[in-house]
Amino acid sequence: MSDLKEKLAAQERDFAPVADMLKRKFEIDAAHAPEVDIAAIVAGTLPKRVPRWRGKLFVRLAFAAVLLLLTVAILVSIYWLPSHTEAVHRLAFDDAERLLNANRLKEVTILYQSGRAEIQTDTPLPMVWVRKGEN
Amino acid sequence: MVGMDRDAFERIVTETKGWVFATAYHVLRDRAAAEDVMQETFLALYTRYDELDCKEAVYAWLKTVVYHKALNVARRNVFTELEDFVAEKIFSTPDCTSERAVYADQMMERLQEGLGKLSSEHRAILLMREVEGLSYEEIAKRMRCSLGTVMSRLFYARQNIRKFLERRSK
Repeated sequence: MSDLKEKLAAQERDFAPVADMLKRKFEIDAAHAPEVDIAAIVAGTLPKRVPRWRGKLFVRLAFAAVLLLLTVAILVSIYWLPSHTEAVHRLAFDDAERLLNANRLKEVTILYQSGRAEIQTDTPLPMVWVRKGEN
Repeated sequence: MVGMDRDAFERIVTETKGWVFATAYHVLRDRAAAEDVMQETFLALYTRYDELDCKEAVYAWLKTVVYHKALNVARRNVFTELEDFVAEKIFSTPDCTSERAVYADQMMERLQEGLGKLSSEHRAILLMREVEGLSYEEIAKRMRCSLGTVMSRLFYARQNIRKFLERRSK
């Protein structure tokens, strides 16, 4: 500790001209001080400063949220949405049958099965995904 | 808000706003942030004046508060870039036409640049020692750190400023 004190004392002597500049600079800065909003302070209406990091944090969070949404949208489009863009209607099975009978559709693709038993099979077929087929 | 007598408050503000601002500015190197700290410091004085035990020590209290507020802002701003220094606006005094004045201004700008290389803690300690003339013990008390930390920080701050000025002079 005493060694450091000696070093500091020696350093202080060399540093004196810089210290003088520092003092002058401080005085110049002090002379250029902006006005204090006394009226707002006394009235209790001085606006609270919002730290800039908070603003930036909000921007970062918003950016991260948008990125996340985009990623989710891309994943959903890849894994969940049907890849065939020709799929045109989602119909109840009865409607699909009527359209088939009327020879308006060539193919019916059954995507999932549950619920009521209907035509052609004993398997319950509440909804079908109908698209214009190539056959 | 109870606060203090308005006339007394105005008197203190008039007397101290220069060094309150300059202190905040030296620590932060950002005029807008320093102005905010100055306003907040005086707001704290006005609202908490009744809580002060010793009304005579109001100047010492202000000095401690402005340092801590400025250092807190500096720590919060670690992830942000501080705005560019506006030295030319500050130093553009009309009588700075002689060669000596120009040289002094150049040196001052270099000093400002060198200060920018230091951390806010180092700048604060340098200011307390060189401008306020505080002892190491007083600085340690104000900064709430050990004597050794004050001394090593001061040594480092001076050494770096000096090295920077020497490099820029070559």
